[in-house]
Amino acid sequence: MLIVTISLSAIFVLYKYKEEKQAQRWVKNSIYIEFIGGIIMLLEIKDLQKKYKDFVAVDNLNLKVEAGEIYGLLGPNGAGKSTTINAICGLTKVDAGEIMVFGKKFKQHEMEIKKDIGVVPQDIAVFDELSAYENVAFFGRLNGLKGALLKERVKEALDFTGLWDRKKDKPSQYSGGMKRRLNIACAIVHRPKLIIMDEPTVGIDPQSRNHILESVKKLNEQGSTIIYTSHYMEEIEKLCTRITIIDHGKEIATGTADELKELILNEERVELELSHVEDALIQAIKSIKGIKNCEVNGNTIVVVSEKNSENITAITGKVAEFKSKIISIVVEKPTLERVFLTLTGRKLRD
Amino acid sequence: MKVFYIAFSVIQRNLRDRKSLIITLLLPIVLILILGNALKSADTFSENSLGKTTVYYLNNDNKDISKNFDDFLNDKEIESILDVKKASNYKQGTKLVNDGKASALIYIDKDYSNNITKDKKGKINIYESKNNTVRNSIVESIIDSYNNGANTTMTASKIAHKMTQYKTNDNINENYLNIEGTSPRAIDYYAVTMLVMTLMYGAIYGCTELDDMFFNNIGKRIKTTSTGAFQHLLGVMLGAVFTLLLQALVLILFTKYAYGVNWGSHQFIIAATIFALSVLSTAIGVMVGSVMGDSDKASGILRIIVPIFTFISGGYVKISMGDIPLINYVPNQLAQTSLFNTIYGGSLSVAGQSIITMFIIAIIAFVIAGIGARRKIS
Repeated sequence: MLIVTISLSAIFVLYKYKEEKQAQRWVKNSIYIEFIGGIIMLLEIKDLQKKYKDFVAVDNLNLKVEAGEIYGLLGPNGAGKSTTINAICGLTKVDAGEIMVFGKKFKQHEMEIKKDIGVVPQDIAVFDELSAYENVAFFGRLNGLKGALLKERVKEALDFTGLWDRKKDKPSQYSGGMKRRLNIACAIVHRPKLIIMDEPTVGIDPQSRNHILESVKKLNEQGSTIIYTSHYMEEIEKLCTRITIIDHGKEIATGTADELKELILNEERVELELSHVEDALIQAIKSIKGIKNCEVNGNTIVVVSEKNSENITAITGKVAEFKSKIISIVVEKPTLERVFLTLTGRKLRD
Repeated sequence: MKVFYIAFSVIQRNLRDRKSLIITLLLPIVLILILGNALKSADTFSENSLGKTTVYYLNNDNKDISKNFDDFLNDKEIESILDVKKASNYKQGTKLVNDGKASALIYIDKDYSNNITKDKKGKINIYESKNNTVRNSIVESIIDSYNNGANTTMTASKIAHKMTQYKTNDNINENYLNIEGTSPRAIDYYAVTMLVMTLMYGAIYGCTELDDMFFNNIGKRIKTTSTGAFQHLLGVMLGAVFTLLLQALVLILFTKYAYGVNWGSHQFIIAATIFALSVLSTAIGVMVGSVMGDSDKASGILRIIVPIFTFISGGYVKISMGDIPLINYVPNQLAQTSLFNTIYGGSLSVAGQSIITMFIIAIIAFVIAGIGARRKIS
């Protein structure tokens, strides 16, 4: 009993110590500290609004990014992700609202704040005429590095992105994935506290994508807070600690991937491919308790039931009753894609 | 320092774009050689081939000593070079020069003979047009020749204690015909005009650098760093200007040592002119780029404008555009006026004025560019 108590106490102390260390690391890496209910806020956007003539790109958006997070912004093209990112980076003047970064108002402390931000733009923004080393060194210099420290950090950034061996090559000699990695190296050379990554994996091979995703995790483990936008849900789901779904410039929902999925867990979907389908069978399935809908597409039916209705046995029973054979059966688990579709009424890649 | 980091990156980029660089430098080098040699054989740039230089002449003295100058102007050798017309008064003479009806007014004041008799300085004054350095240098050479001959004769007469009649002699002819170094050969002329044209083509750098380094991907990325907008823009502009200065240096050194082109001895004023033109051409590029809002369209327009400017300022073939004051403000004309005045012993104050005018036009272009850029950013 004593051993169990001591062990549990030790585990608890270790857990608390680890948690505290993590918090300290974030604090150390953040020039800002603001506690809201014990949480360290690194970025806060209040009622952000941006219009382009009559088009509302961002509509009263509110975001809070905690220190140490990998915060995902999920939305289709034109949802307002890039405009939001541009506003945080000072590339777009906003019409209304306030942006606080590291606890400081962005408008008043823009230059000071920018020193601790690294931006990985969606479009590759490196000099084709300069080598990888020169590119990274250039952005290092613009972020205040010089001398031996600059050399050290350039090596660190190129090592981190796996490009040190090709440091003398120009981007034109690189593959698409390597260019993307160089794009990241230029953003992290000055060890920023906040890294903003705008679709960093667009158009690259799976190997390079995995490398980048691993790099993002590592950067986060090293203490950087990351804002990550993408329309690849699997990336967002794999990486992000919290996600905000944006559509038409508005925040649709915010939470962890599981919390977002919970939002649509009031229904279950089963897709069955059958040997043959007849109207009587469909009517019979629809008559089962808890069934909300049954769609037919050739020999495939999609049955939507209420949450926890546990009626798969009843459905398969009806199929057997009508002498039809089940060729395949898929019980759909909620995905972010489905969450997005349910919440916005359109697909993420629309 | 960030200004210089950005400027250095612009220079690095431009110098590494070897294809464009070679074309930019090779074009004027070849053109100077072709135009310089082709027109040299046609004797286009001898003082006679220019045709007669029209001058108005006013003699308010009308005594024996000044009448020697009247005789000198009526000499058949001089008549083959100068078309001398009488001016009724100083005001009319200067007006005719200002209106472009003549290259210069030569006038002798009423005390000329008295001053010389009393061993004081007697002046033959020239009121000349600022727009034609070559013709001015011919008029000045002729008067210098007369003065040299007259001084020699006067000195000789004093030594001999007797009056001698001044006559046009070999000494005078030798002086006014020997204009080597004070008048450009064809290759010298084209070295200047092609250098000016090359720097004017540099406007395209201003326009594309603004697009690449300020508005497009890399520019946006620079804006996400803690670099101020003014530092950013200044760095881009400086980079474009220094790229042009380097190109100019290569062209000058090449033409000086390979073609033996005369670049004069006033290196500082030549450098100032080239700097002013580089700034002006970059400003024009930035202005056109900002106003058009598209660097491809802007570059296309500049590729049309620059040859037109080169042509009307006599860059390809010496042409007379008559009395159009606006031509004097064409960037090529301003730079050429400054360079020719500096290299060929013309008026350095005219060169200075041209340099100042180029800077003023550059500032105006930057202001227009600023308005255009604000519109684009908003």
